[in-house]
Amino acid sequence: MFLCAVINITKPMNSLRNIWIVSAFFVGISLTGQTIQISGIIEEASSGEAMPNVSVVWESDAGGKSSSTNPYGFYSISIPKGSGVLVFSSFGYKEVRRQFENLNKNIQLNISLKEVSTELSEVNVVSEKLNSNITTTEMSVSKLSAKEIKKVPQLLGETDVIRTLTLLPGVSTVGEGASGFNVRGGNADQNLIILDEAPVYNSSHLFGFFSIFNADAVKDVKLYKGGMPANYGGRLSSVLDIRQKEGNSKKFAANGGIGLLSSRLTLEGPILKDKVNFMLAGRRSYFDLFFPLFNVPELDQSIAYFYDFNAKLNAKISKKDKIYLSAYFGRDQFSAAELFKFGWGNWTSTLRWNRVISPKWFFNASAVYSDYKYQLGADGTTPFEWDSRIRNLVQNAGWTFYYNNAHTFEFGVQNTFYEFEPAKISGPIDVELQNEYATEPSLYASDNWRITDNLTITYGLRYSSFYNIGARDIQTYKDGGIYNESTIDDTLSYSSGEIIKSFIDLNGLEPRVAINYQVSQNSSLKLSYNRNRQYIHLISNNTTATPVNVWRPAGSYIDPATVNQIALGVAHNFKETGIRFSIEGFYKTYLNLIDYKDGANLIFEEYIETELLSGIGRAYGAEVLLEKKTGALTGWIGYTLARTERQVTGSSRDLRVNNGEWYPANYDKLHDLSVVAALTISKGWDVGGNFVYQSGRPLTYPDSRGEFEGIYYPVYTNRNGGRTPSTNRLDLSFTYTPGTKKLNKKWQSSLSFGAYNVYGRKNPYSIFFRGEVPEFTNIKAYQLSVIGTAVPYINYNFSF
Amino acid sequence: MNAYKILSIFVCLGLFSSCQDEINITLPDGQKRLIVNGSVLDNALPSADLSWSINYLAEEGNPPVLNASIFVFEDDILWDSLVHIELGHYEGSKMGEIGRNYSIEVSIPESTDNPSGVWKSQNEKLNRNNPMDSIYSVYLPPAVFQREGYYVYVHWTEPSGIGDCYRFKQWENDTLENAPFNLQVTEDQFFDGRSFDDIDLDALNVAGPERSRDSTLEDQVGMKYSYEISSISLSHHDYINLIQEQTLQVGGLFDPPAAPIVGNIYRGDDTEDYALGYFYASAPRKLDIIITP
Repeated sequence: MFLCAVINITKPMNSLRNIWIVSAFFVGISLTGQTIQISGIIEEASSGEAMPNVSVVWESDAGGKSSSTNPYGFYSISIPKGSGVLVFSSFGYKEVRRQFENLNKNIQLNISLKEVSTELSEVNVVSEKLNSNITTTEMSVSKLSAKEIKKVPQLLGETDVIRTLTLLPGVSTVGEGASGFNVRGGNADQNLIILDEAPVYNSSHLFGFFSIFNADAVKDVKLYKGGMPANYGGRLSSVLDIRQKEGNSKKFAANGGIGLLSSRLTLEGPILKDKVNFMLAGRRSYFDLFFPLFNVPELDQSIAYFYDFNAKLNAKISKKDKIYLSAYFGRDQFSAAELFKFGWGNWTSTLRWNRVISPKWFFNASAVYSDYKYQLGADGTTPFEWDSRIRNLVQNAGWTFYYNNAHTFEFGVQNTFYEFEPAKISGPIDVELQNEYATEPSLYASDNWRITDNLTITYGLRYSSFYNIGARDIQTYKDGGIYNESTIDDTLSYSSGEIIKSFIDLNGLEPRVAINYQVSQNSSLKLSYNRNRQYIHLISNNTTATPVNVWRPAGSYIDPATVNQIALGVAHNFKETGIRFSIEGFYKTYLNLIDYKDGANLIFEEYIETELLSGIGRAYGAEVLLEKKTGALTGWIGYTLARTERQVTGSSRDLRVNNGEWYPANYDKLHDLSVVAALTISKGWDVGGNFVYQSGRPLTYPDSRGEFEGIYYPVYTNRNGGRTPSTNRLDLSFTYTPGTKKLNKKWQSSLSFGAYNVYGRKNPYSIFFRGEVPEFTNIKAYQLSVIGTAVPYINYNFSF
Repeated sequence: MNAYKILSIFVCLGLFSSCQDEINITLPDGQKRLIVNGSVLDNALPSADLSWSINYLAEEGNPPVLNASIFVFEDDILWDSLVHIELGHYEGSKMGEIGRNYSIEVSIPESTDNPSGVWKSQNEKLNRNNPMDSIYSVYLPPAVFQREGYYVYVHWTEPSGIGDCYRFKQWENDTLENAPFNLQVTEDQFFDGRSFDDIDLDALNVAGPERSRDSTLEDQVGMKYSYEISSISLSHHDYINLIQEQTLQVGGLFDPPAAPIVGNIYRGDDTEDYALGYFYASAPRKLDIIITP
């Protein structure tokens, strides 16, 4: 049935393509041999957490076979009948070997892996896993465990997933304090951030200084910068897949910490041992609790805090079935007495069902709810509320078929329903913008095909479509494609559920290909191509997105954006030292990127098309990563050399940006170097450090000075023609863990202290010009440094 | 307790340690452009101020244009000519009429130093406006986020029918408050036809002690506050908004990108080649009050 669907949607394609797709799916069948299947779930021994990406290798005289666990810890490997050894390995875990003699039938084998101290481990303990990057087709992918993230020194000691990611090559931000992140020249809204499969629309606390992900509740983080698997879609630039901890199924455990900015506590444990377990994590900042100490009446009646809450419940309802219920709720809240109040937050919940259908079949289905909203308001003499939100209902169903060791097929269907509520104001004046509704159905299929021992290809196809639906009134405009008040022609009304605009055509095809050629045991060449389509856009022309920016869907006047990306890379492991090296080059072209008319008014704009422009983009560059994950010294050196540019051409001056010439994107930085290191200097002491160097970011300098009724204003002609000076920063942390590191010691605690921006460098976020108060006529140049001093911190962490 | 207090301040300083430092920078002398700021009002003579653009960091004012010929058109028919009064300021002899469309034409003769040619504005409609009903002051005691002092309010009813735009100006002792943050404009979409009369909607708070931070309560007594509401076009509304945005919202994390500020005056009919400034038509309504104890 699924193949029929694929063929139907590609009906307009030529017959050659159809043959290619069908052939690709059935090619493995002809290669079928006499094999048996070993499958099972791999768990972490102390907590019972399912372990993704565990290497599973069959060693025998007849040759080797390999596989790995999926995100839910399931593996399936086809082996020839006979004898051999099955080896399970993962970074930081003791290798498990199982000897089999005269195997002649399928078996189910669940494994528990025990953690070892990677700092003290010998390289050969993890050498098998070390080479997983050589054998896989995955490229442009960064994986971080919670443990790695926690080692990185951060602002005020707040362990931060997003900030850590920005230390990796290809990932950057506009500047310190900027919300979100940019991947290989993409806008912040081009990143699909999913927490347990639920989309997250604002990943920032405190306007962008901290991310919403509590590292204590995070199991692992995977960032796809390119070569995305076919099961991911909906954004152009990256997928950030964050999995919450499942909770300890063996014993009750807790960990937490007390810091300068916030405190946190995580509880986890079994409800029914090895069957039902939970994880609860909470975090709250307490900045506002210090306000009364300042003796300022205005502060006494003000609040400023954020909090987040993570929860997960897992139940093994049978040997083959497991159900997960997870949720996230977080908010930022600010208010100043009755003068104003402002808050925003995400709420996500995921219900997921995993079923091991057979040794060769794995099934995952999920239903997801995601809600992001913000509120502005006041409680004074003129009270009002301004609400805005975006809501999603997502359904996923995906199957994995481990046909044999040469082919692993994945296919599935997804649908996302969107409800956009751009603005609703209540108070003395009740007024609201029309809601928008849309649905995005998609289906995908892929095959990981091991053609030879040295050559592997993962090829797939995703097909996405999009329906913008009523109820809604739409303005029509006179011919010419210019949308403004003077070209309005008519207004059309659409009833509830009526299709206003659909995008169901060949442009919805998103091919994904990744090829790995293993040159030697320690080296491989990689090539990937991916095409992605994005149907929703964050309407923001700020330097960095704000919590009050709204998302709007593709529709009558907004086209979906598309990107094509090709990447070529080399990976090499220095086995003797445990060092991984990779270099990748990429080239991306964008179509239908949203840009904004000069002076666009995006607040409370019903017909947003009157403020928008459409353009193209390109990004290209090279990324180098040298990483060491074992031994006393761990960390990485990442370097990116890249350019990202935009072009908006139009028939008249007001429909162009930068007079139609290419201009650098706000976050274009030619050089980006990060050095991240963690060193265990003795049994009780660890030290960590980051050094970051970046080229300056683009700025627009005034060409001359205009004047309006005595007020001077800048005249700009060259968008982003200038640059800030380069930036650099050093962060350091020291962690003391008393009582050494006995793994079985019940109560463990540590004290961390350090500083962000150790030498207090005033890194320029921007250079701007402003007249001196009060006349504003004596104009001077200023440099803004968001964090212009060293920011020390101290944290106490514990677990039991 | 002392340690607790020091710690809290330390946290605050650490978190909000952003800083702005004045720096020396050299900016280019871009293309020299004509600046025309002209208007036709229904209760004053038409006028225009002409000057040339200069380097953004120049300490002197923009050099005036002294030798221009300026004509004003009403509904595309020549209606008035403006003569040079002083320092680039030109004035005409007629007053505008609500409902009419006005445009301006500026001719600059050839010279070696400055651009020459003819610049024309697009038509601007002189839109309707209602007079303000009253202006009054109220003494308010100190409270959270409220300085003690006299607060000035205006009662005004907006004409019914959506699509009107307004600019607000205020004076203290006949001195116009004329910094970028004083550029206040609005559309009527949220209060179309409503009355700011403390019954339908709250009165407009137009002045108060916040506007003169260094003044005391006694200083406010005897002070003259003036307030003006002018009808303007949507295009002019957008233009003023953009000036405010591009002069105040600069350099910060959440600020919009730099954007050219283009008015409604172009060289001939070529909308690609524009002059700076704006020509507008307006019906201003003004009231004064002197604070008494």
